[in-house]
Amino acid sequence: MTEALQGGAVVAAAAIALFFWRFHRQTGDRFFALFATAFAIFAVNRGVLLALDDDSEARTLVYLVRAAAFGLIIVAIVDKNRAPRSARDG
Amino acid sequence: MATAVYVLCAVASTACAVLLLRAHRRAPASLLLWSFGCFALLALNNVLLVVDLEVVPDTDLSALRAGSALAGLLLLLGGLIVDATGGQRRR
Amino acid sequence: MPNDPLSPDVRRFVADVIRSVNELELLLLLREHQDRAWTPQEASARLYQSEGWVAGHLEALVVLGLAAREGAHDAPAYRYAPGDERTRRTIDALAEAFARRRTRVIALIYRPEPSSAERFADAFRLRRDDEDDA
Repeated sequence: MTEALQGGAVVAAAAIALFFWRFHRQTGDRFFALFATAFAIFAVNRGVLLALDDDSEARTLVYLVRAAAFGLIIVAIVDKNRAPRSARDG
Repeated sequence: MATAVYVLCAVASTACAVLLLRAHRRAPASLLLWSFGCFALLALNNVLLVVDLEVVPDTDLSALRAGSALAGLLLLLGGLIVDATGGQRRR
Repeated sequence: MPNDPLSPDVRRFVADVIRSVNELELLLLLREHQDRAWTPQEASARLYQSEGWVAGHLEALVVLGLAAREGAHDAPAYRYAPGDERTRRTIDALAEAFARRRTRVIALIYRPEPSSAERFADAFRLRRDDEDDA
């Protein structure tokens, strides 16, 4: 049961990463590249968790990878607030 | 150490959720609302992780955790799909 | 307040309802003379718009719940009638902004609609700086 849920999460996170990547292509805003990467990492991270088979979210590698993903989101937000406003909103 | 990371993740997700909700209040848009739901659930997921590891190590919360993560991701994915398939209809 | 930015209600109202300065002027004409109803002919003479355009947009105001239709079916006249107090106050604020900060309101009306991607990214701006130029 839990495995099915996790498998679904892998696919969902990967799909979200693709959507954000598309936003990145549309807007040229690197904010979306960072978000896309973060969700891609979520997908890989959860995939690895699944492959490891046992419930090992405390494992060093796994949590470091997860930290990296959230770190990217934080970087994206910080970056968004430092970058000059885009041409559109002048 | 792991706990610190998960707390940080929970904080980051909560921050995202709050910002998205704030933006939705200011100018409602379905994508903002869906994304808010996503990050709120991801925050819950990280809180559950901490609880599972630190507070009740003997109880297995893995189904709940996996469920909250999947629900959150599906909300965002749903929002993105709705948006891409013509959710853009203000005015 | 000289530096009062356009309120979120006003911004939202403009984004949802007002698509051109002409439409705004029609709405404000009704608002300014709340004691009477306007026929399309009268309003069109006043605004220098074609009667057909005015008639269509007066009907639109009725649909939006901002005006009420009066008079005979073949000779309708329209009176300012926003449904609720909040909308009324929003339009009052918009009218005042249009009188005092005209270019700013015009810029708001013609601002391109941000894509949902842009709105998503903008959600992560912490500083609530005033969204638009002007």
